[in-house]
Amino acid sequence: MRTSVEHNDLIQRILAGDTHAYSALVRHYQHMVHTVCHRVLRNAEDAEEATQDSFVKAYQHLAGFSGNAKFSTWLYSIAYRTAISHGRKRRTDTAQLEDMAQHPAAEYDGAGQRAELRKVLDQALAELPAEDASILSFYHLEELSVEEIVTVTGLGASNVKVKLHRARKKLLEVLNAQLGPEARNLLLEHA
Amino acid sequence: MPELKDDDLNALFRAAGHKHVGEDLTARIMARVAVTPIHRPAPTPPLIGRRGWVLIVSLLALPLVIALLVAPGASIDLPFLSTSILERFSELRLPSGPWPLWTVGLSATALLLLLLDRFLGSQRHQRS
Repeated sequence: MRTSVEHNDLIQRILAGDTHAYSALVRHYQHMVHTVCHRVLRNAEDAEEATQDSFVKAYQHLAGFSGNAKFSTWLYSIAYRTAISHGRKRRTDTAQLEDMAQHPAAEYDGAGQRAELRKVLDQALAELPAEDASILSFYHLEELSVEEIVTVTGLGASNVKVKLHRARKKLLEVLNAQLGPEARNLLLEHA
Repeated sequence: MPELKDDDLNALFRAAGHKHVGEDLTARIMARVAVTPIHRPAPTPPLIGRRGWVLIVSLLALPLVIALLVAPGASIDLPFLSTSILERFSELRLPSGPWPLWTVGLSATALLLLLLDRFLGSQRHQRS
């Protein structure tokens, strides 16, 4: 994980005209940005487009990054809002959601347990509202604090806490209902 | 029957990892970035700069200080000022009234204007 000092150094280089330095930031954050966009849009193609747009927007406004917040929080905020905006432009139709819920691993080339875990988690997260699924990813995968999630999403702190609590409860209900005891044991072993 | 609990979610999310991205996503992003200019907001100086404020304060404070120094009863000699100017100042009479209140009021107004100036400057900065 890069430190904020390294990030600031990269940002200074980019602002000085070294465009190539931006690829290091892209490589470092593209997975999480794509995950966030996917959680909101629930469609691989739209998520990739939103990911590209997020990085281009971040690049355009890099001079406005004050450094008061973490670069990751700033970037996730752009990604989240960009994905929401894409979602408004292209209302995701039910067919796409159903397709993803039934074949969540179709887009992954990973094999084995990791891909299986992704599949299980995707199926469960597809049962949740997109906003709740995104908040859970921020909290559990990227380990953002509630305050950081507030910055990223623009929601109030109490709202984020309530959504986190409800989404966790719902996710556990879905996972426990969908998975048999053997699958749960297997999941707990590999998780 | 074992059930997944809150604590298991962290491990589950981490084990599942991020969504898979296309291999050439970085390249595609960088291709778009290469033709994208960085917005560089032009620095907007405050409406009244530091020198302006120093000048305003000096212009307001200097006559007041001199008037106080040459007031009747004051025994301070100001040789650098000509006699005619000193006579003019000695004729000045500060009206009686709640001067401390006026001073506080004027200072608060000046501070308010300064904050307004900075706020407008920052708004312009964000818009650009």
